[in-house]
Amino acid sequence: MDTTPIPTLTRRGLFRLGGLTVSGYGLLPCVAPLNVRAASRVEPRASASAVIFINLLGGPSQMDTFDVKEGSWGPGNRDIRTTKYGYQFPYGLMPKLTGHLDELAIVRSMEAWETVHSRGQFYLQTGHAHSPARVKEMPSMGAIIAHELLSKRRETDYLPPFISMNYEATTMYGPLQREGCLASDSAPLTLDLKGGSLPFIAEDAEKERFRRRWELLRKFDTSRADAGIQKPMREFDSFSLAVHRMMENPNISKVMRIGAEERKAYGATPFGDACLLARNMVAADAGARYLMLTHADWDHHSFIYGRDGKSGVYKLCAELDTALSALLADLKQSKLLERTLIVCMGEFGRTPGDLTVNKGREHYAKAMVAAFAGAGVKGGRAIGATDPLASKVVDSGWQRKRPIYMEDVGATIYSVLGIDWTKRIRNTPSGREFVYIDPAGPLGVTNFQPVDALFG
Amino acid sequence: MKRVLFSMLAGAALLSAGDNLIDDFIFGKMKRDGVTAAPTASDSEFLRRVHLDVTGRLPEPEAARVFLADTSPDKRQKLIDSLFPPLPVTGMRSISQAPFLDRWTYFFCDLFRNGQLLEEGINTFYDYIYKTLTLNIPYDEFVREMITARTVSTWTDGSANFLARSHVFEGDGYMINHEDTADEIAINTTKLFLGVNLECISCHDGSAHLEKVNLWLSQRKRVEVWRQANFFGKTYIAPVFGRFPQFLVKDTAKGYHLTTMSAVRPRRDPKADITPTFLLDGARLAPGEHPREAYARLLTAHPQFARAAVNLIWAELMGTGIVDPPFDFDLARQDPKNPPPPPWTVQPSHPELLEALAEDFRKNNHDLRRLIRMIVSSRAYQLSTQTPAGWKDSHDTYFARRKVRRLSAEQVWDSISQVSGVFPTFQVTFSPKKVSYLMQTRSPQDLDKTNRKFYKVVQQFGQCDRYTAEADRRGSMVQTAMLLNHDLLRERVKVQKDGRLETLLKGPDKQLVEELFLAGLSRLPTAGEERIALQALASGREQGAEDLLWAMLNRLDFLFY
Repeated sequence: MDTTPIPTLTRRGLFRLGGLTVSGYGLLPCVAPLNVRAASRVEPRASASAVIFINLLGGPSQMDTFDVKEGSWGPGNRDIRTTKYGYQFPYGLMPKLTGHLDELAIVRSMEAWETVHSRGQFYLQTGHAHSPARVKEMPSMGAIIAHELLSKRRETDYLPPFISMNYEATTMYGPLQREGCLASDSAPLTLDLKGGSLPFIAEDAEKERFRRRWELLRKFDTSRADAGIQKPMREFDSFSLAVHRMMENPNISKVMRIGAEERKAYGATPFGDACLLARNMVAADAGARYLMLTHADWDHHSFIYGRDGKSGVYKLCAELDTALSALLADLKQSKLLERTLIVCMGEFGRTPGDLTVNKGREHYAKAMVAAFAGAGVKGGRAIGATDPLASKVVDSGWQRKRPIYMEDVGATIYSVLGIDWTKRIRNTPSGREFVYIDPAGPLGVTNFQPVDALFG
Repeated sequence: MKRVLFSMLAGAALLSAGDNLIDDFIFGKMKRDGVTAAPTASDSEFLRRVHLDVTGRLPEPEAARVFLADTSPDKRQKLIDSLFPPLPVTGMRSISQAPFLDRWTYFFCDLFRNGQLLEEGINTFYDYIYKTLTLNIPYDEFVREMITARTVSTWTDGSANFLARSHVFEGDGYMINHEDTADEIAINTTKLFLGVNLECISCHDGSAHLEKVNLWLSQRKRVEVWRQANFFGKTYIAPVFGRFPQFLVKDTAKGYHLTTMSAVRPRRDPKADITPTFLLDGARLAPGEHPREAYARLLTAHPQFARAAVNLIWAELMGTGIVDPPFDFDLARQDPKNPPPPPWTVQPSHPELLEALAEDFRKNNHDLRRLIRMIVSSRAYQLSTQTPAGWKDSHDTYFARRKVRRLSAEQVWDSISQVSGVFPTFQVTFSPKKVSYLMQTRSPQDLDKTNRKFYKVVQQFGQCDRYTAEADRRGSMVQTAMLLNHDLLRERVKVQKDGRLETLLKGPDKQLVEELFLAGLSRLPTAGEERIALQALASGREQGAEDLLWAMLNRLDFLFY
């Protein structure tokens, strides 16, 4: 059994480090001495520096997106054609992506555990089945990635490792999953691109005032200088030092600001803006490692094809099509796609066959779809297959003869980032061991592993 | 009416300053184990803390001046007593301003998840809780009333919202699943009022799951949850005339059927014996007793009811429960005279204290005000945040120093209003009323519907959404960025009509600085702080004052207490 030692800083060490840590993150590694162990030696692929996870919130219809199917229920203008790679694609819904099929690998043999949004989102964000007993202590994948990669940060890094954009906690979808039992330096930076300006850039007119005020604060706030303050205050100070570092970095406005032209190219939607920021963050190479971008409203219980032929999947596919195509194009051109994994999926699929009385589709677990690109993913392929209705997986299409689950996707993500997905945290608050990817899933499915088939 | 009179008498049973049963236990244990306590908090530290904890708000500068100048030995006790509103008496007009009632109504609204799923029921539920606290109705009666409530509409009858809130839909999102709803009521009431979390064993037996987590629950079976839920087998909760989310709550349901498919849990065993049975002691209905009334009786009469209640209030005031977290009681690990087998240890940090507080609570009509007053009057509550010599992290469970906490989301933004003197206005949804403190809103939707941008900011500070997100006092980068650079805060610190700065700028510099410190930190500036502040004012008075206010609102000792 291989043990990963986690350094335990002494109190004196904490004070000496103050806010500016060796990680360059400006965040105090407030170490809960977690006992993290690796149970077995696996060989992570380590082919990516960053992962962009596109969270299609609500559960997209597999048969109207990447596992498109003909049926009497479907309008003809989805324009289903066979691509040069021999699989079917909705040219009418996602025309721009047809220019990027070389990069895309589509996985059609996925299943979900859950059909309730909040539980499904928990599963999507943590890679673990929902368990009420463990909701609070389970870190999300982004937090684990942050925890793992903080030690590798460079002096020049100024972006936090885990960034979430446009995830809105709602009654239906539940809260954003955060660091759970990990330390606060693994927490996500949450950006809401619908809410106007981001508070991380001081506008030019404000810059001088901000600097003056910051200097005043450092002198005036005698409590920050007090070595005896308790941990929550010390952490808060570290957070503000980290924010200040971001705000003062000369490149931050390049990362956080969006030009009118490029905004248009990405579709001028909150999701398009998120893709743009993600592109900028990856390009900045400044420490951002896991970027979760949420694209909302895929929960098409009614009028999935719209009332007017423009809403429903037409609208959402168009938004996704424009933004994802632009992102792929930019990352490909800059060669950053080679070191960036893009994953695009929702929390479950939708009921196949005829539409419901409300002209929609309900939640469905037995078939769902995901798209991958970058970081060594071999494009131009559709992996796995479902029956003619997209109601069940008939060909798993990878090394295991069973459908692919979120746990497998999670192992893939950890693997490309060089993280051993079999590591475990022993001393959780509940006393139960937490495995990054639990080898035993619900319903007797076991032995999750990276989807090697993606990489050709 | 009888009940009102009765509880008024109960409220009159006040404590005298000396007889605090808490301190012997807390300081006795520290002495025994050689743990050094922090010194007693200074007057301003105590003043600020007790105001925030008991009323949710900062003390006004004038009140701080008076308190700090007071030299009488019992001034802390007098201050504590002044924070509680009087009980209503005949001929009294109304209690229009009572931060204590705002704060504790908000507390129970969070606890009972009085949120958007109830729509207009939010206001009736709010008013009901507010009234209950105004009259200081004994806590056990409060709980019994909610559990036994019947109504034709939750939009006219506040207390019935408690049960209606636990409704569970079928997967289709339109129909209510009766058995799941009964399960949910059993889970919620057991959690909130007994401190025991049944979530795990509502899907499977405790055995082979909870051995390392909870000794008592590891010995419980899933069927016991159904028996607990079956007290609500006849409780019929449904939308009024199909108009969700207005509910009726009656007793006309046909019972708890094991064969019904659950929308959220695995299948139930159709052959199980599900005679309504109280999970904690196996008690059953008295002959002819109404099941819900029996449940309310058994629940509130069980010793664990008072223990869970006092522990919950203790955690709210002290930052950590005697059993912590307060909804994770392990009932097999409570009695030090009958300790659990190793490696288990007794769960409460101070089992005898917990028992004594519960006993006092029971003996005094489950009087919440008396309980709050007793805790904040203790020396233990009044310890400083300073770290004493020889400190180890394990000493937190001794309550050897005040555990520092960030202001709650509502307190952060209400305190910013108080110190800047610039108050927003929140429209109470479904009502002509307007309020100016977040702590006076009926639910987060008042803020959401008044000002969505502001709502999103407050959510980032960990506001309880009364659905899945619990109140959260953890800090984050986004919070610090908002305080440093969000236009909401930049606007607040501007000199403006009726704001504090406008008034203070009319007076001398020294007074401006003093008032700002009293408003934000309940103390006067040190000589060094005053010098820095006066320098800031010297380089442009108005701009300097705005900078100072901004810096005050970003001080750690403003944001934490």
